[in-house]
Amino acid sequence: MRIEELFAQIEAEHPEVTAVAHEVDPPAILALNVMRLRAERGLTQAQLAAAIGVSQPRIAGIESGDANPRLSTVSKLAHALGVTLSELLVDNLNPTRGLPAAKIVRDRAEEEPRKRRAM
Amino acid sequence: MEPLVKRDVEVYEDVAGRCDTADALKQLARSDPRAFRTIQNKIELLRQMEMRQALESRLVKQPTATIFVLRVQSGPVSFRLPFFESPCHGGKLVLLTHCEHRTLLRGDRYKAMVEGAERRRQDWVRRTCKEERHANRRAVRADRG
Repeated sequence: MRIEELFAQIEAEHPEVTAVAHEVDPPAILALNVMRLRAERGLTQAQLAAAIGVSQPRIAGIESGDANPRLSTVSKLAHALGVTLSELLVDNLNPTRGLPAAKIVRDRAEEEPRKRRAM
Repeated sequence: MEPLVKRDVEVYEDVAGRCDTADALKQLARSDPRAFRTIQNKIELLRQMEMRQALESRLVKQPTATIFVLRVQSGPVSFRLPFFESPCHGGKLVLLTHCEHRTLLRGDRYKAMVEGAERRRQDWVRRTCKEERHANRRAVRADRG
């Protein structure tokens, strides 16, 4: 069985998997995005490293999901790759749309009158 | 623009079509969605990497010449997923066994996991690559004919 088919099947059967996506392993998500964007721009690890002033093994570490780089390094990476910070950190397996915080506030606001009625 | 090439990955199925790796991943998605998601991310990462790069990182270890082990950490729990690179099918990766908790793999059990993975690898290669050889021969004959 192909892994894409299996994952699609699991995500359909267990929506909770996609709900936790944003909480899971940001370095792996960053790694996936850096690797994809670097390939799309035809850059080597050494070239990207030179562009942001770090060593090539540092980029290799970020791309393997081992490193948990500083926000300033992530910002430099985003600039060098010509994307926004959020594009670098978005989970492309499950791109979240909308603002979770806004949803939490909305849900609470809906919950309040119900609570008051119950009292 | 050079799009990133992702390797094909499939999960091992026995001759009867049973797939305990898929069953274990489904079970994990139900019991621990975060761990499942972490494993999914690591598999995606592995698909995009060259094996040399994966081995240099902490993502993959190679206990034998043919078997690799994907290492995944989710909170306090570690998973180990043995896999191999198919000699045919353009280097497709095949996940061989269900996710093993590392805590259950102390001593001889790690060795047993690798041996079990090797048996499955040999079974998969015998069944699958043979079919590909036959398909190639048929294609060559058809070209000649």
